Amino acid sequence: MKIGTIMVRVPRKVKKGKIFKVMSITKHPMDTGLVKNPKTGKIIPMWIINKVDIYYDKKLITSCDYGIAISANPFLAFYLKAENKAPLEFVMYDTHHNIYKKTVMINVV
Amino acid sequence: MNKHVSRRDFIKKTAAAAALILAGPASTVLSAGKVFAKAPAKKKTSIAPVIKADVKNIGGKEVVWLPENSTEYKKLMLPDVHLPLIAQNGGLVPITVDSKFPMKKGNYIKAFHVFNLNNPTPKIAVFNLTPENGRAYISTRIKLQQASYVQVITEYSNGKMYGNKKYVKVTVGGC
Repeated sequence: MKIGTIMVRVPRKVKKGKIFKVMSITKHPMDTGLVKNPKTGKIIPMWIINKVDIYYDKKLITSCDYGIAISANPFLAFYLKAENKAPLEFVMYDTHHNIYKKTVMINVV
Repeated sequence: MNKHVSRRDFIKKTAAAAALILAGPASTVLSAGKVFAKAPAKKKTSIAPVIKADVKNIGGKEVVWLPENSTEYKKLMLPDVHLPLIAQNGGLVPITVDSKFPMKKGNYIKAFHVFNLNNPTPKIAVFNLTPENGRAYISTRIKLQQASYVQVITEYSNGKMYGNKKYVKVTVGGC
């Protein structure tokens, strides 16, 4: 799988006004910059996701600032209140100036 | 040939055998003891003492640490921090921060700050929330260097900060 792939799990249908759980996992090495490569003996340079923004209905809902102490392939779960049928957008920024995006629709019945 | 074994002879032989059997495991235990005695001595040099101090200040704001059984603690609905008692792999420790505080407009939990003072960088992460979340809940996986206190500081929308912490044992460090 490509680095930066975001997998998101949301329920297929949600009733309006209900609170539901969103789970996500991102493929990323999250190198801390403290570990040595055992073969070459050189330090693996730091490469982490340091900012996550989550938009629902084009409105910033949750944002996270990560340090180096988030595990590889970062997992994030949070709750969300269903208002209306709108996209849920994940935007992630890393220290190599890459931007990873993922959009899922939330079907509000 | 004399097949008959005398009483004296029998006792001698059994005693010798018993001594051998006893000596066998005892010697191995001793050598194993030596090995185990060496290994922690090496580890001890790398393990720093657990820091018991609390985070007192974030961005110029004071953090209040309440005793866990006080009425104010229950009234504020400070989050439960779910962490394993013993983390086998320090590189992957699941943490869940869950509060039942009602997320109403104008009165909600604004952020969770997660700290560990024994890590190379004490600040682990900050999670900013809004009333649209409906519930103050965050679940992730973090890295821990060694057995230490994980401190979660809850920031309310009125700007006040309260902290609570939990102790985790880590067998293999992950930073």
